[in-house]
Amino acid sequence: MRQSVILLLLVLGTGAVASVQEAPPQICFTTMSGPFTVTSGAPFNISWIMSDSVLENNVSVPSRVNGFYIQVDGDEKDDIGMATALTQCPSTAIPYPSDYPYTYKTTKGVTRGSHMLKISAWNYTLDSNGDPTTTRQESVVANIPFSAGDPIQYGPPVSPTNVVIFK
Amino acid sequence: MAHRYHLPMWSFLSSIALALQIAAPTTLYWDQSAPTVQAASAYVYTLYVNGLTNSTLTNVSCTGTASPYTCTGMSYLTLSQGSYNLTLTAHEVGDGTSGPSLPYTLLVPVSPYPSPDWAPKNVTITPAEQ
Repeated sequence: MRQSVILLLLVLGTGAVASVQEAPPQICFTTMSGPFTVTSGAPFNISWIMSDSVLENNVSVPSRVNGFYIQVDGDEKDDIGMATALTQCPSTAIPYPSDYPYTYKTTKGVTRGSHMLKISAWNYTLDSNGDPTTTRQESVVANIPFSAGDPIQYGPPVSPTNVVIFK
Repeated sequence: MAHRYHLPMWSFLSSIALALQIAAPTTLYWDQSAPTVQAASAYVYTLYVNGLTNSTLTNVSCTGTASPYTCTGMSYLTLSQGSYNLTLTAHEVGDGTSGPSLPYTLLVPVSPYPSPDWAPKNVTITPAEQ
């Protein structure tokens, strides 16, 4: 009897976990604008949207993405693969209905000052049979300026300590 | 054997629309006069783009029961946006080369990729959680 109860609880627990659906990210609903500022020397997050469809010969076809490139300033272009896909934007989301949001945390930070992030998508070209080849084609590159600064202390000053009074 | 070198003619031009893809293998179709279908398949076909030699077609195959035969061949076209004149010649080893076919005008519009619709958009940069 006790085993049955435990099993039932496990089943219910599993169902509860499976039903959790992450809320679509804010970038589905808001067009973000800079200036973007990160903390110098620390990895930072990049988030973006990809259309769920594109026009090909005036016909709307599903967007086909095999990966993304990022490049910061003059660094080498980095193939980050598919990054992390977030919950698809709902069909009612304005201005990005049914689009696909992604996020990626960089592996390193940047120095203080102004920087430029370049991000693009890539996919494999198709042969005459519609099968993927090994040749990549790249999307238009999005250029995003941003800056890095030292952490800012917003709270009150820390209290003086070890106070001594001299006569 | 002048009949061997009748000008190749484009017949199924819609297939060239495949050239809209960047650096895509493209199938070309044309009609070829020849004594036999085997002879038509054995010719070496050269593709010219705006009068310049582009490539020798591969995987040439001709079918039909009477001349002119319907032939297909592959080329790896890499064309950017613009207008191009495509012509084709047929060559038989040891027997000469035909004159060029009548030109086929190929219009390559802006490729669907890259497309601004397809690029990352609404990009946001934020500090990472510590």
